[in-house]
Amino acid sequence: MTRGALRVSNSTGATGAIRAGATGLIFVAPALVLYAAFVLWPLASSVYYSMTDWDGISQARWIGFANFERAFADKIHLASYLHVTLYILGTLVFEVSFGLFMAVLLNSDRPGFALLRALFFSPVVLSMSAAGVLWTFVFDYRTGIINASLKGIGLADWAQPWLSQPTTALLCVMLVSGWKFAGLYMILFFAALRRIPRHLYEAARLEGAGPVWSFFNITLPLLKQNVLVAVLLAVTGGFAGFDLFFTMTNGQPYNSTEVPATWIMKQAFDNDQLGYGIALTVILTGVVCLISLIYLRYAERSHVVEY
Amino acid sequence: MAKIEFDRVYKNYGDTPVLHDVTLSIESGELCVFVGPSGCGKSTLLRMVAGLETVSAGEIRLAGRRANELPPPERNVAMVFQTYALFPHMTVAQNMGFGLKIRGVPAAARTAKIADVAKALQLDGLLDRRPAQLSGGQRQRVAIGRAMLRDPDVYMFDEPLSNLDAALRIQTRLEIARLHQMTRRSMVYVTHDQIEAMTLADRIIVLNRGRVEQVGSPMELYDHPANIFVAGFIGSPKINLLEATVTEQGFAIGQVPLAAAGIGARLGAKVTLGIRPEHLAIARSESEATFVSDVALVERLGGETLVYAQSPVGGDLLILKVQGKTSLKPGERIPVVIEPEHLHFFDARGARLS
Amino acid sequence: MLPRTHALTRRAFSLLALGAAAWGSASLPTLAAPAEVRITHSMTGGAQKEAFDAIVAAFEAAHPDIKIKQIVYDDDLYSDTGLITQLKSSSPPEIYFQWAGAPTQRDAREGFAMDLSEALGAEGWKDSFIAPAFSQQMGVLNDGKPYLVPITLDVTNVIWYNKQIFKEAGIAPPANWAELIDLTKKLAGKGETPFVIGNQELWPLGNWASHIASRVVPPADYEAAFRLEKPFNTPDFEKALNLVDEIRLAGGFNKDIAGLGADPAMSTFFQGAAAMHPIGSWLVSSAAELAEKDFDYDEFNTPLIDPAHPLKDSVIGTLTGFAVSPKSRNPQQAITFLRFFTSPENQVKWAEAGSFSPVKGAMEKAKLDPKTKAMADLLNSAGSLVPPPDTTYPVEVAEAYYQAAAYVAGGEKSPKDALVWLDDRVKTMK
Repeated sequence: MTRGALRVSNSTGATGAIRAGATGLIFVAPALVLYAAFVLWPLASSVYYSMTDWDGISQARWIGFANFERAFADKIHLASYLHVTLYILGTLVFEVSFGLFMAVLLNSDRPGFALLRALFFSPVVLSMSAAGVLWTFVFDYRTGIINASLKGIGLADWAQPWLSQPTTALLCVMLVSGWKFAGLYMILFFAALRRIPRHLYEAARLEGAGPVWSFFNITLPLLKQNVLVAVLLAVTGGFAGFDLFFTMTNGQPYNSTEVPATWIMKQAFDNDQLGYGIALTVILTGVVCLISLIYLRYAERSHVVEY
Repeated sequence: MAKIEFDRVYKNYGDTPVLHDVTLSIESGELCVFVGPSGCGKSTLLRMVAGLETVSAGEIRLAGRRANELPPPERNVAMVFQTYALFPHMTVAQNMGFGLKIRGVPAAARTAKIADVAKALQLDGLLDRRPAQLSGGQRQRVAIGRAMLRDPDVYMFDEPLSNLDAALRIQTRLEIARLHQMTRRSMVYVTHDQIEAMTLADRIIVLNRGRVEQVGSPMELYDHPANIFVAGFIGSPKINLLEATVTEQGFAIGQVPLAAAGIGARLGAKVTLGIRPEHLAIARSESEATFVSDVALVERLGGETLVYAQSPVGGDLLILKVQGKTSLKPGERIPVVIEPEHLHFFDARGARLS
Repeated sequence: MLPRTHALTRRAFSLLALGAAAWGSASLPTLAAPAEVRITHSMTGGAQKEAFDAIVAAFEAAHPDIKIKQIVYDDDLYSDTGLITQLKSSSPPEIYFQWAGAPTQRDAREGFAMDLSEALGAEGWKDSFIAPAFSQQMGVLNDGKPYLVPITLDVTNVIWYNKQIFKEAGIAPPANWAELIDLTKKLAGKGETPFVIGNQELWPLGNWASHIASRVVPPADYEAAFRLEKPFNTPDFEKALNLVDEIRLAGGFNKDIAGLGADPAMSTFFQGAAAMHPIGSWLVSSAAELAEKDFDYDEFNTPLIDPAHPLKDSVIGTLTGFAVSPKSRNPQQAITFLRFFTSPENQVKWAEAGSFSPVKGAMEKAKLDPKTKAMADLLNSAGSLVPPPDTTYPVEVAEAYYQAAAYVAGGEKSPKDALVWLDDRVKTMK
């Protein structure tokens, strides 16, 4: 009897679940349609076009994996990943670390500090292209203020064509990127710093801890979540980096500042090889997805801090 | 062991004065409680001892040495915060031992010391946990353990019980009292709760609006409050305060004349009479009564009963503390008698009269 | 007409505009009469637009049964999305602006552009243009049939020089390559910057370097290399890049050649910070806007390199023109307009507005300012026209050659190494 009753309840449960599933499908259908139309379809068509020879205008011609074979033989394309990796490492130093440093430094209620924070933040609101153009003037070999200043203090020999040498161009882009975004990370970290109770620092101070100890043993561990977010922003933003490279160096000199985004733009739109450009985009998407997955696996394991 | 002295200490935040002219000394080994309403400056005073706040004027001396400019670690004080100030990313053991680590105590010695203190505080099973996995009481014990490992000259407690529930509060209070008995170190304890002050303190310093109102042992403060503020702040339930007029025989509450000697005010002066609830009693008959009053409310606490009755001069209800149980009901008329040997008189400015 | 719209300068920022443009063209009103002829182009203003508007007004007055409607896009937007969206729509405009070379040939293949053999063959219309306009290499033809009515000839590279600096150095425009190297050395020795080139986008030097190569490499080999039918790494191409290297060794190039933008480089020239600036004919109109009034400059063609070479006195340039959509409603009326527009009298007006008309006699009859006149003379004296590789051959191949030239000019690679690199680079392209 018990067994029979169990079986009955089981079978009604199963049909009930199917019925509930069908009803549920009706409710999610609009979202599914939108998702399919705006995410799945473009994704699928991108993958399709990545396997064609297509100039964006003529009929696309199916060529299988030829674009991908070409991509992995394209040395400038491969080098662009090295450059973007260097750039991201640079942004971690110039944007995230410097932003954190400034947040700690400017974390005070004393008069004037709010203004300093605002000044430091202000480049963030400037458009990327405007920043690029502005700094191109600063770095200019003949009329830029950097070389002018070096000449002014008697270091004329140090004046360089900053954006025209493979050794300095990428560094210059990193510096401008830092100037542009350190303020954003500063605000991000500043908000988190404000959440750390003052008593923690006081307790450490009474035990003889100095500011350096407190930074590495209190501030940094407690900002771990924010640092992880900042690193994710810097890494994914770095891969998407285009505007600064486009306005400052356009991938030059000698492709030394070529990053995936600039190279894709050149292939797809300058060289009218949309199929190849899309194949490069598919590769970039794969790389970013892979990095994000690795990152999420790591980030999920870290604890959320409660005070 | 350290004696703490305040010599004409002032503290301002910008143009806002926080402490005025504080002069007092805390003897070595004493448990001294700063008590007062919030904003009275008691925490600031404590933090000045720790070196977490600067001194605007005057001098603070530790063991006879000027300490104004002494960096906090050199003062050898330990502090227990209301919010515990535990590092959320460290284990209990790390939280307790980080000071030892900073001071370069070797790992083995550190572990042994932490184990000793943890055992004394019944934290021995919890050393690998993080603060978020502990109850409030356990967290506060970790904070106390950290202070103990500091082996300080002065323990400081900044409202350590405020974040705990009532039962834990009493238990932790007892632990602090035991710690004091065990170590005989100087302790400075800040609270806004006069019961904590009364139960723990060797000496209480009552602060109000940045000024010291009175310094004394709990019973001195209870029996001889220096002013209306202290009289009102110390004691629970609160002292009854009544308007009175000085007469030839003594004084009068409204139309009710009462005999008293040496009030120390001129004839006809308006004074404030203070009577603790246990010094008001219900007379056996109206003829023995000082005055007759209507019961407004009865609170039965078991061993004793609080009776709220109308004051003969109006204003706040009078509180009577009656031993044992009573069958009184609101609205009943009761004869009230004042025990004349326990009266406190305050002048118009609130200062105690003779 | 559109100086900076080489394939290499085209950028697509706004794919969104694609959608917007599609809406715009789809909702054009259709009127029964008069017949509407829509013309899409990227002249947003200036003297050329004024001249064009005047000719359109004259045409409408003469042909009351035809109404002209102009659909105007900004330069970059036009070449990225504006034009193609219209061509792919169900009612493409009757007339559209296009570059000769690869774009026109593509349009011919895709059926966007109409075969104009019949129209141009009638009443001697084709013969009213200068002969090189319909030469095979200039890209108006596809399979020998014309698909574009040429309207403007742009010289994409001559060497502009600062007359003041030349005068102070006591030098004159060179008659041959050796003289160019001599005067470069002389200028460098005086502490001047002989050449300023903003090669960030590669085409400014690339155009010149390919013009040099076209004068050194046998024409068939040159064409075959850019079509990837033969290698670049040949003694002839090496000789061409050696000439670029000679300029570098003479201290000819500005130090920041590799990273400088094309516009800042031109400004540098206008500011008198360099003696020479190799760039296209559009410098004239930029000078009017950007240079000081007393800035005195002139130009000379790339001097004689090899007297035995068939293209020894060539000029490098590109044609632009109007194509007709075969799928549009009124192609015949469109041809009527184009005949009107390319009539000698209208082309004189067109030339006076600053365009290099490919119609016979137009430049001679037009009242031109001295700079434009000098440029017209240079074109007239040219033995042949050579198109820039980026409008003629696969763009990625042209760009790879430009990059090789950039390596040499920057001293990063020897001419030989640059060609080895180039052949390796184009290996991945089909």
